[in-house]
Amino acid sequence: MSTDGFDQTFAEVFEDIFGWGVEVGDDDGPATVEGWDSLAQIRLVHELETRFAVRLPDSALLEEQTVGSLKALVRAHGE
Amino acid sequence: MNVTASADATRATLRALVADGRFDEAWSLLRAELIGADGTAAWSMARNLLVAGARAGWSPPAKRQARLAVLCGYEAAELSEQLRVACLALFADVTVYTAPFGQLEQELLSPDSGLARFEPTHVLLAPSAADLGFGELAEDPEGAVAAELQRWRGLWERARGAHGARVLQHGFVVPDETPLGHLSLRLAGSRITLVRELNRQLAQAAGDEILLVDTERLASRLGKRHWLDPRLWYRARQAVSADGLAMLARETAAVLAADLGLAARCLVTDLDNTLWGGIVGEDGVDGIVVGEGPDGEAYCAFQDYLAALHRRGIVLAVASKNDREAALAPFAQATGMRLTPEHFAAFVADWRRKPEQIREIAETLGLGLDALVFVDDNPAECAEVASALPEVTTICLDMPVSERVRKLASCVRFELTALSAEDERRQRSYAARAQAAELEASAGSLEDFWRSLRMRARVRPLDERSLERAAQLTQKTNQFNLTLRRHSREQIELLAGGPRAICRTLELEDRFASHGLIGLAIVVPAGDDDTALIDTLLLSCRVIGRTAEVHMLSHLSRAALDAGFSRLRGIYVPGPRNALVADLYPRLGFTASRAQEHCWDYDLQSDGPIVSDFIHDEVAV
Repeated sequence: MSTDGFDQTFAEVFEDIFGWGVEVGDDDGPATVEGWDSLAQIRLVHELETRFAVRLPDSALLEEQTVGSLKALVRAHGE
Repeated sequence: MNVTASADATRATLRALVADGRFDEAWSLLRAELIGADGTAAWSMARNLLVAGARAGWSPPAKRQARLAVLCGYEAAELSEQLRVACLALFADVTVYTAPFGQLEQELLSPDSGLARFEPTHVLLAPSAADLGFGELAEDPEGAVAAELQRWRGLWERARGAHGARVLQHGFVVPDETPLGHLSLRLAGSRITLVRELNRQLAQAAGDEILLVDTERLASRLGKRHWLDPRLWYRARQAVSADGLAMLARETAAVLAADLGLAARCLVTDLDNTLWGGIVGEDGVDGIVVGEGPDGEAYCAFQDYLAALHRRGIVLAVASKNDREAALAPFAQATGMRLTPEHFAAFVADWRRKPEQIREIAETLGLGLDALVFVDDNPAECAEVASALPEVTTICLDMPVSERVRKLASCVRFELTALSAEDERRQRSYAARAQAAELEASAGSLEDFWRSLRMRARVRPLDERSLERAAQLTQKTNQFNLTLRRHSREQIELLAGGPRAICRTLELEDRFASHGLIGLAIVVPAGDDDTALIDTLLLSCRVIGRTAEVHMLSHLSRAALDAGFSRLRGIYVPGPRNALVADLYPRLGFTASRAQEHCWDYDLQSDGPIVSDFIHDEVAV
């Protein structure tokens, strides 16, 4: 997957979970994104796993994740 | 990946529609995904669509309301959220109360619990196998199962008795992992045997009253490895995976919707490349594929599935772009056909557009568009119907014929809460209604038509046998329903048993068919000694326009006189679909009541009982 495709899919997943029009940067996380609670975190991990066809480690469900760290996890566990 | 690809296409179309403010079309598109496709993407999109719609002052169309209390053995936030969305997709606007998980007894037993204050119409008990007190090997298997059975039955009774709610319950998923291996099948006390046995006994105890959801079947369909996500259990106390919850919510909502009278009643099918392979108008009867060979057998299996739906009460209809003669030919001449023309209550084969054909079918059968499911192999036809008639559930069979029974079976609109003997009879009756409509077109006056039908009725007090059907009628009847009151079985029993109450059911037969039990009336004292109030008066839409209402009122007026009343009072409550009975009472000589709005009075003393001219009583009552 190209970098563009990767980023776009990532952005779509975030919009699906946190609402249409939501824009996030790599440093954003539960503290800065409205609605990013434990339920949203579960949805997020599930949706990322489905869209990228990866299995993320359990640590993906921890609350100290950020957009950037999740991207890194998806890249590390993809392919 | 199939699921993701379809979600991508949906997402783009959806956002374009929403940007244009076309919320109804967007919702229709999404409904199809929520009702028929696996995966969770559609649920996220639905949440966003509902938020965007609410901002623009739009809300999805709903036919019924309910208040559902969710009592979950595990973390229930996601299940509750999805239930609300799934119910909306099935035309039910359901307010959900989510109790803190694991508090089943506390919520049901405490008089000032959140559940008690919420006053639910329905209670969902959603435990998981982790809630069961079963060890890996029980020393007293019967005792262990009996104790659990007692616990759940007690909760059912409490929910019904103290809270007056209908009860839904998730069954238990038989565990997949066992240290006893295949031996556990042969051990009466193994955990696997105990859970199976408990499911069996719960089903037996549930009878017609408790709405059980077959969770074990759903988990097996998805695969048990995918049903439970251990990460979510340990981290969030969520006993079902994200994909599992989506399926569970959809299926639970379908059972609830059916209980509210919202299940589909009619399946409309295409013919060419749907019931058989090939195009009969071009290939001829000898050229179509059905019966023989791999595809032929698969078409047979599809027809068999439709025939089975028909047997359990789903009305079948045909909408086909064909010459009528060509469309009927395979039924008479092709070997291997499983369906016959008699299976179909309406058979429309001409060259009009499908939405027009389907609208005519709904009108002929007296059904709302939301009661229809349409199946067709052609995506273009499906898209046209979905866009023109968003209330119809459209299932596109654009997959190999071998996969189509599975596709149709995964549509949750055909749930039923109880099987009644009426279901089978109704089937023939819808066909008879279509025949009678043809006769009406040829008859001279309406009176001639009524006489030519040679109608016979049986009007009887309510009994144990007719109670189930009567309750079903109050739930399902929208058009010929004067007061729009929807009574449960228990409420009807209570009303009918009251002092001076008159409760009658009406069965009707004409020269085409026996329509079965199609009318219900409940009359109670209005408060003063003289007035009898018609609390409920309804007729199945199958027999509208036959003067059956006059016949029912003639019986009621005589019974009211016999019971010492001097006045009969009717109420008409205007609703979205019952305008056709707005003038019923004035038409029959009732005058507007001075006492109350929407009320009509009939003076039994001076005007005498109401007379029914066109229907004869089979047995003098």
